[in-house]
Amino acid sequence: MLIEIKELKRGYNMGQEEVWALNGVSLQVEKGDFVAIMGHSGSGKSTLLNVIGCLDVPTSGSYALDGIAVAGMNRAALARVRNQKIGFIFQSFNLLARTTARENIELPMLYNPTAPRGKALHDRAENLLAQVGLGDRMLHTPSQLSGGQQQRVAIARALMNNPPLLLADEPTGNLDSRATADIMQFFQKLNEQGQTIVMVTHEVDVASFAKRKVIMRDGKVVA
Amino acid sequence: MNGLMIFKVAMRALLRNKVRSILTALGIIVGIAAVIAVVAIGEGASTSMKAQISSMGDNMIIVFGGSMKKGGVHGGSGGYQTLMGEDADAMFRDYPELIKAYTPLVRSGGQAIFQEKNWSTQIQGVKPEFVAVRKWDVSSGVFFTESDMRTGARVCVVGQTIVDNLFDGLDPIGETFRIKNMPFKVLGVLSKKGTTSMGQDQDDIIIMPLTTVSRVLRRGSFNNVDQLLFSIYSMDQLKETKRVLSDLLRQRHRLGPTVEDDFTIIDMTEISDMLTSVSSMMTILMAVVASISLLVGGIGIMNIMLVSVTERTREIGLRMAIGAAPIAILLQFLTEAAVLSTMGGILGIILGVAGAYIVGDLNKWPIYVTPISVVISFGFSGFVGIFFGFYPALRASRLNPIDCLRYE
Repeated sequence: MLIEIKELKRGYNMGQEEVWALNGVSLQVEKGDFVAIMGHSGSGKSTLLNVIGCLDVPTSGSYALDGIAVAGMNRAALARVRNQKIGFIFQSFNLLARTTARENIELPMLYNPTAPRGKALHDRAENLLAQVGLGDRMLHTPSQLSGGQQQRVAIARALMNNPPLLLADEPTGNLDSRATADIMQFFQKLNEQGQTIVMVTHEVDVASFAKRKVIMRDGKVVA
Repeated sequence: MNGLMIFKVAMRALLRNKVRSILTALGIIVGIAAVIAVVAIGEGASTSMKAQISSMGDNMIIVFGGSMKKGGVHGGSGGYQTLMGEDADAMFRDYPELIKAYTPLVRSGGQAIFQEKNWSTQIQGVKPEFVAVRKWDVSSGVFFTESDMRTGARVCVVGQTIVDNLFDGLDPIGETFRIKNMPFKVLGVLSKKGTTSMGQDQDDIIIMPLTTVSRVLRRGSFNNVDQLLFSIYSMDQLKETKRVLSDLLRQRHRLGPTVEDDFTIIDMTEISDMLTSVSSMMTILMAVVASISLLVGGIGIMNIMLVSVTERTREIGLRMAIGAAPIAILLQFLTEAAVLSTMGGILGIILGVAGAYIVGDLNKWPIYVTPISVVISFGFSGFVGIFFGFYPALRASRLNPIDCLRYE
């Protein structure tokens, strides 16, 4: 079991009353699964993704990622977990501007003490770029790439540290339908190779690429 | 992340904004350049002053008539005619083991006239031992002799400025010029001493036998002199010599135990201390002004780093998401600030040294760049970067990654 969430709660103190963005969520994701988390805005799907991504800490409940109990870790320890266990893909790509595709991809290795350095690092980055079909765009900066290409660079970056879990937050939100189909097919290919993917989306046709859908409403999993 | 990689990341971030990086460092560049230049000019002045003082004489002690306040100008000479040539003779007779050479000195002035040229200058009357006492000999011709002294001969040696202005730079040896309608023959030209750092031209001088100046020019009583110059064998005996000299003078001048000295004894170390205290005070003052500009430069760095942290909020969020611990973010921004200010420091040192030499060259000032000022400036610029970069870096490291990633 890669993700094991039990009775997870995440509350925000809004003045006098507590607002529960997650109100008792239980979720299990096995290795090799491809899950789409769906729901309207305010349903708690982003908060859940943040907690799964170790960017946010739950108020109560338990969360184990790849067998590691994450709740109660400090910020430095959470950063280490994110670095080793999770690859992030964002709606707005979040590539560093005026930085080449290769350097962007190498970024996660910078914070990985066990990562290769020098030529081995470049080789791995170039390899990943070739895998996402951008082997000839190694030294291009984000402004020289299309949206779909930028997202592929971001996927290569997410894969850099060989994480057991790929987390995508509306990965196709900024892309046209062709690039969307492209990216989702690539996700499926990765999944077939055994990569676990958890993706948040509100688009039904994007979610249809996943093996399993989790629907959320008012901080709870409803289906 | 090891140190080298942190440095590389910082360099990359700074190079992404070259113009801004340079402008940010400008405060530090100017501040450090100012410190380096000011200290180099100040040190150059005081070094050359020390060199001049030591060239003024061979382990010299000067006695002025009248009293002189330390740190002020002496008002004694001319005012109090208490010293006699015989005082110096007696000192040499009683303490030959201390005194190597000596000469009394009388001062006068006048308008020297040669053909259609004239030049107002100072005239000093001394004994031939002056050459040994002041370590100042003629560069051409000869100095006057003991027999010129005895006869009060109307002969002299002149400084280079006199040669330039009165004789049009031509060889004056053997020529005769007039002062107060009396003819004086030039025997020799003194070697060039140059201008003191206080702006006094040491070569604007005519030196004559003591007797000539007192009898012929001043027409005063023969025995009164303005100064006594002694050259002692060793500076180790300075204290002792001054003590016995003072005792001897008090005895010869018949001063009772309660009466103040009617003379002042100073040595070159006192003059040197006085001059260096003035110049080091100036240096400190200028360094303080320059440090304030460094402070302003540091605040400039802090300001830009704060802007940079805000501007790169998303980048910070991304770095945290992919595994940067808060300490890594802190170190990244701290290194950027430190690199910015030390690079500024290095540029400032180069500019400061170059500036000091250019200014020194234009004004004919001596320049001395002390290694310690370079080391301190470099260290200080690094310190400024770390000090003023810490707060922005700390702020960056405390940001919440979720908020950062959502930041527009």
